[in-house]
Amino acid sequence: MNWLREHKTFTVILSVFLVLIIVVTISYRNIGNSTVLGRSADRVVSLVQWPFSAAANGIKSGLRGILQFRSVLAENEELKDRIAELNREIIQIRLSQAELDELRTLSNVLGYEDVTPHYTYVTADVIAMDGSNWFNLFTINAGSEAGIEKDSVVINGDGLIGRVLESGTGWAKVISIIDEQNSVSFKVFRDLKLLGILSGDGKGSLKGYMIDPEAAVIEGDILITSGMGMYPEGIPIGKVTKVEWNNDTLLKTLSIEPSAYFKNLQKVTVLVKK
Amino acid sequence: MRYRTSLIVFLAAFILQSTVMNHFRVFGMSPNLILCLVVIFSFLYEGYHGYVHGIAFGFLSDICFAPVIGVASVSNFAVALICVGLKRYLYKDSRISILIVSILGTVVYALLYWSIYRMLGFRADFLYVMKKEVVLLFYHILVALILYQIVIRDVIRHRNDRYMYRGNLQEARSLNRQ
Repeated sequence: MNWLREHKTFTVILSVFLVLIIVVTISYRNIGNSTVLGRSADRVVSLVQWPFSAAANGIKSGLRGILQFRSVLAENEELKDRIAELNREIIQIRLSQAELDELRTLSNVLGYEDVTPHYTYVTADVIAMDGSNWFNLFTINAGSEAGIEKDSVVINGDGLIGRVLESGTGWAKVISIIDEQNSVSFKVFRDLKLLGILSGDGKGSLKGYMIDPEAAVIEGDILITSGMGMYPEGIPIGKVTKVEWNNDTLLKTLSIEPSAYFKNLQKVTVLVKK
Repeated sequence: MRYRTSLIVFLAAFILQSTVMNHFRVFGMSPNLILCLVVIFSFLYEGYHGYVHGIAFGFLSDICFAPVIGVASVSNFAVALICVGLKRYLYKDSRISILIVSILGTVVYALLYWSIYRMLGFRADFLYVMKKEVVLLFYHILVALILYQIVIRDVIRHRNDRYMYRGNLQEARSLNRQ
């Protein structure tokens, strides 16, 4: 004890480090389960961040419009063509939908039970992103009041973004698939029988392997979610950039480029189970 | 400097970092303003600004943007300790000093942050992280130099006075006692 009294500075520093390490350990054991204090802090911070984020996004969009006027015009023309193309696709989809409704009615008449989960879509703005550059974690301005809960799936126009790590009133914290510790099951869009598992590679991208070592997957193949696990079927994940045979695991391993760019997200859609 | 004032500065930096600074990314990296402030406040000011706000805003950053709470606080605390230690060996009134301090701060923060997450089982490739840190290092030096230019007038009131002692205040007091 005398030694501790004589070395006050050292004792204080050591105590602070010990307390912080205890906090880290407790937090690690309860990932995604904040205390009331943590939730309140998140709520207050998201309320403060929202106007700043909205102003910054507004200024950026305005400046882009002014400085890149020609490219915006070209993009506008391109989007008009895309809208026309999508309208044609919508007509086809409506016809298929009518057919599907008929089949569903028939299935109800025959007494089959519908096991596919139904989702509602909640669109939210990204109000804050991880400033430390280490994770692609971000906060959105919709939360439990819109039915968003832990593990709700998050997508955008490009494809799969990730899942909700934690949510509260008016906010939800989203973790991207590239930071994800859990694996995601996928199938190859070109041949839906080819299945595999992927996860973050720790280098800002994705890596995975095919369940069948003989699977004929090639570079450039588009991967979509398989529907096994928490992610619903058919969401684009990314593109295969490299296929390799691993002699140690005797599996075909893949390098995958995610379809979404995580550093510049402004709007996302959350799939909420009905 | 009063703790109230430094609290406002850290709070403003935290809000800017998570909102506005995302639009100023270079190679996908935005500066860690809290770390820059921890370096500046620990090295240039007397008192415990760097320690206290480093730990507090480390917690806040982790609550909002990290899967595990406390890692940024540990890293900020370690950086503050190193910066305070460097006060004995470096002059405050020199841009070279702030350059050295910000490089050391960034490297120590990155190594500690990476090590802790690695120990907790998170996947983070060391070379990939260090490549990102090189970009961040230049960004942090730039931000630290800008912040230095802003606060140095407050830290050393009469910079052109050649006879003024420019080192550590505690050291100066001990010299006077002798």
